[in-house]
Amino acid sequence: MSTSAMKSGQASTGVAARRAFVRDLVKLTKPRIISLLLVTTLCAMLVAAKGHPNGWDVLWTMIGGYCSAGGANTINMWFDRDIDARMQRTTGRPVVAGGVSPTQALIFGLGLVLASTLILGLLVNWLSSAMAALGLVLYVALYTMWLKRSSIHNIVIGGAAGAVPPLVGWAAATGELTFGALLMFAIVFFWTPPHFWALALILTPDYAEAGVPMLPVIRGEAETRRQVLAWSVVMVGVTLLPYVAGVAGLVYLIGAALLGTAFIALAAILFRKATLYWARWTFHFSMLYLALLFVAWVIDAA
Amino acid sequence: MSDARLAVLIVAAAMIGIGGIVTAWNRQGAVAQGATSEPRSLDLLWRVLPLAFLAFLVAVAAIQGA
Repeated sequence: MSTSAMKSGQASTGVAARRAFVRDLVKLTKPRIISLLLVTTLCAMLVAAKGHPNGWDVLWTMIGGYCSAGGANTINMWFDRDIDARMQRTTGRPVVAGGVSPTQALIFGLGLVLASTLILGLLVNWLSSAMAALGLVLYVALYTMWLKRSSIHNIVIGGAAGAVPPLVGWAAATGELTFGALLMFAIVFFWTPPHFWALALILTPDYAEAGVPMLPVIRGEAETRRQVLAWSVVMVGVTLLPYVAGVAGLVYLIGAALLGTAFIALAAILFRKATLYWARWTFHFSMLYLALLFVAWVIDAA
Repeated sequence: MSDARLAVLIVAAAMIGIGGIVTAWNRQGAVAQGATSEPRSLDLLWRVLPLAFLAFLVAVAAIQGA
């Protein structure tokens, strides 16, 4: 092989390695999960601004929101690398698989958090930046470092972190937080347990292997299915409150009632039929449900 | 408060009340495969906090909608 061919081969290998590294960095941010968080952020902006938020504010809030959630997810993968290595679902994560070293992941995560704080603070407003920081603290300190490994209520209380994005969006659009923003937070907060426990039912052996005290591991699958149904009823009740408080109208109420009926029906089927099939249905529908509910609120507000 | 809002408030409060009580009550060791190291007082706090939040939400929604 000629010297130039060898150099060309080394260069292409280097490019491929760099691309793989960048792909791993993107994976660390958990882009699929962030997409739903950003939907709730965007919908909160649209509702708060009655359908007409400032375009630049939307752009910088989406970028800042991605950096914030991505930074939190990256730090989560850095901290949880020991249990991720013991769960089949997470053994391919970059830090466990060796694509990114733990130190690189931590620096990347902290860099994203810093970028998020500055983007939201300087280009949108400091209230939205503070809300993003609150979400980070709830996810990393309260959920990841404390409750996830010690409490069956881990995703109930820790779920507050995932409910913060609407607060970021509302604050970004208006510079203040009203009861409407708190209701959006509450809807996501009470949506999290049935959503996450449906997933936990599918992954119970994985969580048990890793020693994570998820509800089905500690209390069993029957109790978890009962709790999914109970929390679904609570959640749907909470989704009716925006109409009661006068912060949403009839269009939203009809959407919330129809979607809520479907959610409770699925949870009831899961309660009666202990199969993974219905757990998967409940889990996947829960994501569609949240997106459609917020879209209904946007249509109502516009 | 309009009749429609009052009717929705009653339905929402009933769902939240009944569901909330069930969520706070996990049958101890139903099919226990493990245990957590969490103190009982903290376990109780995590059950009560969401209920207190729910009561606050219903109360403020009712006041604001009135």
